[in-house]
Amino acid sequence: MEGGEILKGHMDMIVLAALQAGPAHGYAVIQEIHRRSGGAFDLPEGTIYPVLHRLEQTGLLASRWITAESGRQRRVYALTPRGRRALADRRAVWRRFTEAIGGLLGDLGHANIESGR
Amino acid sequence: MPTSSPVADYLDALSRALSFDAALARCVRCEVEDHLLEAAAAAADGREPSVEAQHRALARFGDASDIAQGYVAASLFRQTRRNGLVALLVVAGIFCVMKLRMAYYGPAPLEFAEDVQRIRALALPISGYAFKLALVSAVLGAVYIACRRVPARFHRAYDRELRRYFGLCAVAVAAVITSVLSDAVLTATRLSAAAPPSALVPLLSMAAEIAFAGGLILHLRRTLRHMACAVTLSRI
Repeated sequence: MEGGEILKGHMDMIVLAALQAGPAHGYAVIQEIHRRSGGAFDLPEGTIYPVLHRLEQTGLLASRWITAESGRQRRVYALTPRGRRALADRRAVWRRFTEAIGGLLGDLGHANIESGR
Repeated sequence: MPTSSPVADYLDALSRALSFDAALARCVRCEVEDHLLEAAAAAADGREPSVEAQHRALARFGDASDIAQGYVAASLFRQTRRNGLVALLVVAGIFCVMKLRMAYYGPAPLEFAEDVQRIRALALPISGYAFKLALVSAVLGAVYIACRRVPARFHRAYDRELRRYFGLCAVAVAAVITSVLSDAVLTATRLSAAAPPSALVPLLSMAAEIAFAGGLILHLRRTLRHMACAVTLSRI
């Protein structure tokens, strides 16, 4: 997907949304992002871990270590109540933004058609 | 995990890049190892991951130093907040120790020789003002850093904020050292004028003040080294 830098600006919201379904470890979060975006987001997978770390530090996520079936230690993240509220807020802002941009681009497209006549 | 595998080599590189925060490096290494082995196993369809499968997982994961850079801001944020708390605790500790020593001396006034009296007249306000300055700068520093938000990346604006905070810390440390030194002078003059029933309490209280000040200096030094590593890694 083009616009990787734009995507980075929304990583917090993307990660929070991916964890909305329930607790998950980093690899599962990335799989969920791939699945729900139809593979459109193609950032290096490792970039998600600093985001998870920061969201945990700001209290939007909580984590715990479990032992996976493989016997390896695995860190599982979950949304905190504050994280759920933050996701709801960001979703509302995003909807207003996309509606505004959609309206603007729609008008521009219309203007182009008008001027092209 | 064999030590010579591509994943193990990558984890070593990541740990080195995160060496500015040893606890974080251990945690991230464990977490990333789980990710990479799971990704390599998925690429190998459940078979033992081949070297090629590991390389593919690593290529998708990204460069170790880029990943480490992503941790810099949050790690420094945690370290500086802890530093602000340590500065407050040190100032509070010194205050308690001073009060304890005063209570031990009791209210009885002492007669000092004229030259000693001159030294005390100089040291007493220095101690008081230095302590007040230490308190104000420690509180301001702690409040300033507590009001910051964790930035996504370690950028120039955050670097400037941290430098402002370290400026306040430097003032607090200088004031704490001045306060402790003037307290040492006051204690020495007092003990030389009239030894209390036991000099142990004043001496122990001074040792505690020096230990508090030393602890603050060491903690600040560690945070500054942490920041220097972070700046180098972030190449700003």
